Amino acid sequence: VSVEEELRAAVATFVVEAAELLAEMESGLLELERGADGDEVVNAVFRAAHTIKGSAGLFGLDDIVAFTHVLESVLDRVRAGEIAISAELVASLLPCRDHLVVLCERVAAGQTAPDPRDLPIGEELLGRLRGYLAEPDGPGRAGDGTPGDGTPAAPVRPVHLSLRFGPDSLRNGMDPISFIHYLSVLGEVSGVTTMDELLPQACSMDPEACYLAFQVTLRTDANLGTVAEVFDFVRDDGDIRVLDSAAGQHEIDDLVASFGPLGSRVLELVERSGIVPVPGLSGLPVPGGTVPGGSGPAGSVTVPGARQAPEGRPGERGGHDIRTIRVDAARLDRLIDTVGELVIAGAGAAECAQRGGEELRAAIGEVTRLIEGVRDGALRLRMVPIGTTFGRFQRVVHDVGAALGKDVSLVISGGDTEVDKAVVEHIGDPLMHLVRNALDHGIESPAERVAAGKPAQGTLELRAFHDSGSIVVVVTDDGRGIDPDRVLATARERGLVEPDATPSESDVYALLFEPGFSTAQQVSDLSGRGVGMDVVKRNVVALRGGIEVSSTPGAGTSVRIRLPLTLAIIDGFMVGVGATTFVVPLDQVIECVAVPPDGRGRDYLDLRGEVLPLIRLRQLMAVPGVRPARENVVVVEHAGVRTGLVVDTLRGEFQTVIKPLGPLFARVRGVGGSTILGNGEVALIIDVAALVRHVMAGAAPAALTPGG
Amino acid sequence: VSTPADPGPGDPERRILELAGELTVQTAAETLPDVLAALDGSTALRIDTAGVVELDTAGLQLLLLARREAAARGIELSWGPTAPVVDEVLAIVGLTGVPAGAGRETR
Repeated sequence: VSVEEELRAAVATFVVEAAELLAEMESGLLELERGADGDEVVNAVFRAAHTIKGSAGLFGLDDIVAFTHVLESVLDRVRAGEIAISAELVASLLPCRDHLVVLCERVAAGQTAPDPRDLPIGEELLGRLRGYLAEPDGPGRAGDGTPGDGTPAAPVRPVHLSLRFGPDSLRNGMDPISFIHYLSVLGEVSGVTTMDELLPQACSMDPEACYLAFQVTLRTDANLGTVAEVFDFVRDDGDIRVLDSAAGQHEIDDLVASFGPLGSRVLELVERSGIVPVPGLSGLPVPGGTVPGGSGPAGSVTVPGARQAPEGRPGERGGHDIRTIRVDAARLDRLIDTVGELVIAGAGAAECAQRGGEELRAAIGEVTRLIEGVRDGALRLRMVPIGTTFGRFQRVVHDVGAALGKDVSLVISGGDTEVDKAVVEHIGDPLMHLVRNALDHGIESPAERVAAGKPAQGTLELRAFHDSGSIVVVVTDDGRGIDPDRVLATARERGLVEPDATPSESDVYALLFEPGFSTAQQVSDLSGRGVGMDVVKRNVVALRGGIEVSSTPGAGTSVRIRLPLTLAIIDGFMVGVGATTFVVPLDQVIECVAVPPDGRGRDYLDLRGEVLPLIRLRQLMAVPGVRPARENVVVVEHAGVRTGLVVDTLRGEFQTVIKPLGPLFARVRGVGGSTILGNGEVALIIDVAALVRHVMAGAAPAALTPGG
Repeated sequence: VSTPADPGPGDPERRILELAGELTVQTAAETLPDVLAALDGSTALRIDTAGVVELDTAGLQLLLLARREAAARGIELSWGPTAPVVDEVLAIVGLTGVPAGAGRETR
């Protein structure tokens, strides 16, 4: 692996971590705005900024470092209780967080140099932040390089200096000893420690390079800027830090971290200098870095200000707290793919074993049991809590609510419900539609709400829970609800329902997801409600899920999405057409019936008095051969619509791993994937949703309300 | 600038390293081999800096390297006599105990 590739991989890790930290920061800020109890949340937000700054420093992303530094300083003062938490503060901090997202995305796109287009926004945001820093005792803070510009002298107090000159400083005539000697002009040098730990092996020592570091305690009344000014000429290629008792925890953390393994020694010296009250030190990080939140992945250890850090290579970080590890998603996908093949091969072996002896069957039975364990374990690896997805909506609710002049609180429950990563990735957009709809059209303005006898603040709830092999996500609002009569009236107007049909209430709400309904002009809040709902449904259905709406006019609306826990494995039902095998997802199979002798020519079946439209797989899939004398019908249901698939033979249940179809098959209608059977044959998996759409396109609206 | 002293008769590995003149970044490159040679194969080494007229960080690094190497190789190391300028620099950087072979830092 080339250095360049390694670096690129490291930057990619940075981007991923930064995105996570920025998400944490966002939810933390929103929590603060809602008046959440302070310290822990402030700390989390601060740590996020701190870690991003440190990691960005590793990659020389100076603009991110510079920007985050100011943000971090403000947060540090919030943490110290010097700045009160207020809506205005959060309103200043949120856009900074957003700006960091932009900067990180730019890095993700491969542009590591600062983009001049980012500058004006950044400057404007920093300007607002500096307002918070400009209060008394703000200026000339440690090591910020702010020179003392005649500002009044400070009282005599200890100042700690950490001096690491650049390697070439001696050759350039800058000798740390002279500088330390000079410091006595400013006050009393009360303690100096020479650190020679960084001297290399004798054989590899460059006798003219500077290896020594010095920790100096200076008792002085000069302000920090004046002290720092002494080192103006060395700061560029060295690492000079000047701290006094006003130093924030992060500045000390930074210093300690910059010394890597020697951090604990530096920390000891800082403590001894008397600039920090010792009791406050208990929370200091382990030397070498901080582990954000105490539970972060080992990869998020930071080595802030690390231009000079001995362990500046990201690949060498870690070894602190490995409760979680970060794994490349593609690697995980490959594992699951392989496990899928193992499951299939196992099934094949089990089939063969049935013809073998008792002993072989027992052995294979045990192997099968283990394979199932491996399969479940592998799938669980890819399970992630849905809470991260939910968390994103805090911001949406906050921003959209503010824009619409509505006061809405978001209630999240079941955020730790786990679901396959692939499902989580696809659920974001549909949820976004639903949340926006609820905010735009569901929840009323405060005035309207009060007039209706409701609390002025609306509530939007996102809830998730497991239910018999599925995850159910419910989006509930306590808004004005949807009037089923008006939906029905609109549907009749648009010709979606026969004038004399009287569909049930749930069927009426299902009309909201009809493309014909959704494209209706936004003439009323009602039709507006339907905008994009067909898209939502399409997305959910593509995940083999289902969606339904219930509503009480005046009291609120609830949209319930049901999704499979994983997209990788389904229980299938095998059917045969000629020599070809197809697999139908078992959860969509209702029942199987034989085609009655008199129904062979028809496109529908009389199923206990109901009309069941039929699809002939042989015809649809163009399977060659002659129709057998006896045919079977597999009754499948999707989104409340039942359809019969006409097949030759029923071959039983089979657990199957879905493999995506190649691009060659991408446009084949009614096929959702492929799988390999125990005998090595390939079988196509029927996409019931697509077939149902096909039927409805051909037979609507009669087929729309099969249940009557 | 520096001369590894004649080994004393009867104990060829007891050595004296005499450093003199400038002990700075200007002379460090030529002094380093002398320091290493004095350390090599020695069992006891005394470093005499009486003749040193100037000491800077580069020179100090050599003294500290000698100290570390001696400790690592089990060489008995002693200092002296030392020039006033050496004492002065050691005092500035908090290493007054070094020539006596004691602690590394003072306050």
